[in-house]
Amino acid sequence: MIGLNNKPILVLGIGNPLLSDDGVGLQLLENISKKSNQFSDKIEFMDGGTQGIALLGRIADRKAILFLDAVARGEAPGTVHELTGDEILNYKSENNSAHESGVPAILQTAMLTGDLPEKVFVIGIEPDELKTYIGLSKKVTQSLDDAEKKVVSRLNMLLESIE
Amino acid sequence: MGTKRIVVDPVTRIEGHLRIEAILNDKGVINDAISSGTMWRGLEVILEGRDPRDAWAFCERICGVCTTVHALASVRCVEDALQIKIPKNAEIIRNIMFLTQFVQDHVIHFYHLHALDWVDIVSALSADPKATATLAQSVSPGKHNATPGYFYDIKNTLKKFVDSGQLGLFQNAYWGHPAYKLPAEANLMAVAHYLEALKWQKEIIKIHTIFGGKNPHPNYLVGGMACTIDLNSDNAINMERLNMVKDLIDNAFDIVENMYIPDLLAIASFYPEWTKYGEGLGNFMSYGDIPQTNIYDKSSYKIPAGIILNKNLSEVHEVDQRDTGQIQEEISHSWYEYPSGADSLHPWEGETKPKYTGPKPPYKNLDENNAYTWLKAPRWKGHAMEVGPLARMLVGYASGDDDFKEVVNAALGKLKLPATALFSTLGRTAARGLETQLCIHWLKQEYNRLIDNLKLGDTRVADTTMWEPKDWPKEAKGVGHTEAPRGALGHWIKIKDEKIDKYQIVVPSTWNASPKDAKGQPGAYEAALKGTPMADPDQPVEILRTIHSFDPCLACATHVIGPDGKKLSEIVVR
Repeated sequence: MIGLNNKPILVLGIGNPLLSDDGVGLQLLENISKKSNQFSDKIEFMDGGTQGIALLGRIADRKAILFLDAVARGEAPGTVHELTGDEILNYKSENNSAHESGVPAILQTAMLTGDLPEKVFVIGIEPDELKTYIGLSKKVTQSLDDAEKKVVSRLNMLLESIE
Repeated sequence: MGTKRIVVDPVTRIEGHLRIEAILNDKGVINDAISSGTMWRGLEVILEGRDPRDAWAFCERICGVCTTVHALASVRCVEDALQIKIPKNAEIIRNIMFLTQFVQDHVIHFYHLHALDWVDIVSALSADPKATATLAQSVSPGKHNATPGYFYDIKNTLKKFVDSGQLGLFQNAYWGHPAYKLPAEANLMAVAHYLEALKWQKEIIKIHTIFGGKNPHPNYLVGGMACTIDLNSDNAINMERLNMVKDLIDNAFDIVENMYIPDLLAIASFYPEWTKYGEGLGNFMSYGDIPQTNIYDKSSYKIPAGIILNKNLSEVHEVDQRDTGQIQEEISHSWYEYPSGADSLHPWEGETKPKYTGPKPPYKNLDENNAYTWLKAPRWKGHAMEVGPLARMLVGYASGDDDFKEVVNAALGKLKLPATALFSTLGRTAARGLETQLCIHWLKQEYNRLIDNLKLGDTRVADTTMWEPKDWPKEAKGVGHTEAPRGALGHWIKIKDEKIDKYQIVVPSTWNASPKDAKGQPGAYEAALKGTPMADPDQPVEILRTIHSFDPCLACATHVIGPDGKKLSEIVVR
């Protein structure tokens, strides 16, 4: 392993901001990282875009990882979801691509290479629109505060658990 | 009748969404095929009206992995429009970023996207670790980790993974299909190297973090690069960081020379029939790259620019991205309309106006006699072109470049194949490996050029004399071209009153996955599938082999919207 040390907790925003609600994870990331002085320096905030398994190196050697992402489970747009790593691992990987392969494939790959952190969580919002447009839909925007609260509370729990 | 139509949708282990429909004759051989990008991405529209200096940051988001190539083409088109020449260090650093991307992407493609078309993961579970070690040592004497204990551990890891029900990564393949020909030990060796490549790829990309400030989405800058270099400072790219880059390059050299290339040649030797299928168009195009002086000086490129027509390797035609008569996109079989009423437009005049006329999904078949894809049909002087590693290797070879001749002749010699074997599915896959060999050598050279230049005291990385819009002409237009791992990439820009007036992107997969044109000429995928015999139409591994040999990347060609504008259901968590 060469240089560039990893902090123990990674908050990783996933998605494409050019596709409206697909960028909700990155918007959440931006909102939370503005408050990062509330947290200790044990947390790293990162915009992962749609990099798929290319993010493996950023996931390895962490104690915990929290993904922020658009999560489409067929519920009402704007619904805030919180999932555990185990739940995500059981999602079927639709498209085994090197990139844009989504959180399930990243986690499955990390498991195979032994890079899966002990604690994995996903917080996300059910998208409404996935069109070529920069900016979130109204329904998703209205849920940002609620999602942020969940992120803050999860991060505090994670910080306690690694003390 | 005696014909059968099969549909592969989506083609798995690729980027984005591609649909292939193949029509078989009564002998089970593909007679005709159509390639359709089933999702639309109208990214160009987002760029209009924005600051040209910001375009690269939006373009980085077009594709998941190809972030740097789109950023590079974007800054180049703005620099071309504003007639900016970037400093020597910036040119070299861009070359290093480019080559790093190629090496990482090609290795990932081989092991993680394409190898599973040739390697049977499940068969690896019955391999003998001791025999695997003997095989691995004979394939690559320079490779470390070729011991029975190592392969025993890998077999256990794989078994645990499969037993846990997490076949996720490997689920979209046809395990046990008779088209898989490797012995169990070769399969286990390939699985071991699949895992090694996964671990290695997260290291090599640190070069982008170092020069780009961050990864993913490294920083580019109109006028040069955004990094600061000071060999003796703690707050800049210093000698310690540069030594780290050197170690990463050395490590990559070992992976390519002692693992990827030996594995490629070993696997290829079991599939000689695949030099007979997948030939395709016979027309090849490279924009070239890796300038040794600057991007405007095409004669200084390490990867030559040029066109080959009809497999004629004794003539290389010139390609000029500004000549409005050369590159044009036509839409006779695409779900677009040109409001100007034209059939075909050069990208500077290009338009992105969708007009869906296809069937309402879910549908059974597309109609090849009408529009059937979200991709336009780019053409060079009216000819359909293949782009990518094979195109670049052939243009380099036909240009008489010694670097190219050496690696091509060495590989052909080892496989005991004539040069004509390159016009095939296996040739395309081999070309990607040979190109990686060249890239890793050039990466070393570019690193040394950078160090030499820095030692002369030149640490300039950007030219900001044209940074302020007040210094720009009222109207300007430019073209930025590069080679993405998948092939020729061009961005065309028109700037007016300090803002982007028009922006058009023609990506490699639009060339390769192109539909037919008004003259009925097929695109590269469509042509390459013709003549391929299918053992079992319900398990179309043959189609996957040929399509994957191109390394399709449809996200930068397409998008996540169905024709009715509603989201598609396949996204669970991205």
